[in-house]
Amino acid sequence: MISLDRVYKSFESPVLRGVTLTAKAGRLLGLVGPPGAGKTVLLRAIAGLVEVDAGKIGILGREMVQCPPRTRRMLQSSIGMLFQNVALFDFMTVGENVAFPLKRRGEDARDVRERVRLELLEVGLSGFEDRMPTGLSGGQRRRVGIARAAVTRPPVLLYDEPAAGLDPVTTSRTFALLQKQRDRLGSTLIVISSDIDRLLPAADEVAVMHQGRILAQGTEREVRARGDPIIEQFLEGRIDGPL
Amino acid sequence: MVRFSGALLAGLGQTLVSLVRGVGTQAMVLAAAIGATLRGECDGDELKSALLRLGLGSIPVVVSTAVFVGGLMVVQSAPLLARFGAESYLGWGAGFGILREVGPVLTGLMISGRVGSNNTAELGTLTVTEQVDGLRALAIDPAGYLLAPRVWAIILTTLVGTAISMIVALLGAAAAGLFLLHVHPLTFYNGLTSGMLTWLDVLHGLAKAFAFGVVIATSSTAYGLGATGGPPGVGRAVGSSVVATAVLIFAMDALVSMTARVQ
Repeated sequence: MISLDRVYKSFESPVLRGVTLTAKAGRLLGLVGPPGAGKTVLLRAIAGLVEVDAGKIGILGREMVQCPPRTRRMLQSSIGMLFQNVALFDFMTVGENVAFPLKRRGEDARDVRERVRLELLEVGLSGFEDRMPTGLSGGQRRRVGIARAAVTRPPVLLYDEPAAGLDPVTTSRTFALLQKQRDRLGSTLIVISSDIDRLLPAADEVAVMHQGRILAQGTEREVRARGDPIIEQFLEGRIDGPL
Repeated sequence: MVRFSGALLAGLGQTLVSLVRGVGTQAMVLAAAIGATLRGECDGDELKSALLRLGLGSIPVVVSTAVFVGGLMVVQSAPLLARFGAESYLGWGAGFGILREVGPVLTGLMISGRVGSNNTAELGTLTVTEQVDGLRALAIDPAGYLLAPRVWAIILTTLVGTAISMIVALLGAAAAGLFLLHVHPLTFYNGLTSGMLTWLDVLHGLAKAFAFGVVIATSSTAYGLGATGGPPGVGRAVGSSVVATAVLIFAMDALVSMTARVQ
């Protein structure tokens, strides 16, 4: 389980203003909100890449905020993350990228090869092992990023826009893959996506974020039932409204 | 006039602050590299790769520069030595300049231009494309995987490169002496080993090389990791890194020279 309790973070201006959020174990939480709401910073804070100013972030029962470096690395090793711009290592092949987390853990070379093969098969990129990331399309790079995030079968998966720039069919396949990861690995997933129409049916719960705060969290029906004009406008994609 | 003076003072103040901040960041880079190495986290494969990529690749540049440097030392001093019939001092004169000053400084500048800028560009690209964060997200400490191997590889490259540069420059000077002043290589060698030059002069040059290596490694790494704003930001970081490193090389040159003089 992932729990955030009144998390604050400011850069030049406040980005997170007391975020309280819970992602239940083995569930897929969709994190949505207009651009600039603080979603990516929130995901990076959960991954331990952003030091928050105040608040608590619990990962699998351990506290991430201001923990010793060793504890932080231990917690980070239980997290797989896909970055908004994917962040594949350009100096490695696709196969080396996916194998990298396993190799760093000292896994047997034969097992690594097999796991990489299976993971790439899972994301529909079988046979891409020797290609360089620079030679891939945006969608292919994103799928390699998903494979790399999930190859260690971590209990927590954080995905920032896993379907950005993908065609409708590949987008549907991607969300089906995320659901499969949740079911197969039992992982807790937090997924940011602008493609609300495909995210909401795939998510067990949704949290709507606006101006650094969580406006509502629950099932899609519960969130819609709040009657918040900002949530309604955002989920329905209407032009007129408070946003 | 008052406004101009104020602006000038403000500019100087800003430069001083950025210089102090830059040196502080470099000290942190060095501390991180030492810390990671002491913890046994310096990645051996990355160190080998950095040595091959940065070190071996620099040798042709260093050698070709050193040949000309040695030759030019003789070309500049030849008329004076010939006028006073002091050709036998050619080895001492060239050796003194090459070992203590020209060898380390020019090698440092060459390595800064080739290796330092390359290091800043690579780390800058990794930073602005979130690849460094990608490592951290995989629970990999960038200090052990990126910083320490590059810092040690650059310091070692500068040290070894300077030693090679000194030897090649002396050979170049001897060759130029033979062809321009008709000084026999044995006379050149005797001048070099006449006792006016000692191993302390070699150590002096290598001490400078070590200091320059630390400056190049930490400056290029700090600017690379501090790059922001996409590809233009990487370009700016490379430019700033090269300028700052050159200034620091001359500052360290003065510092080591004065320290050695006092002793």
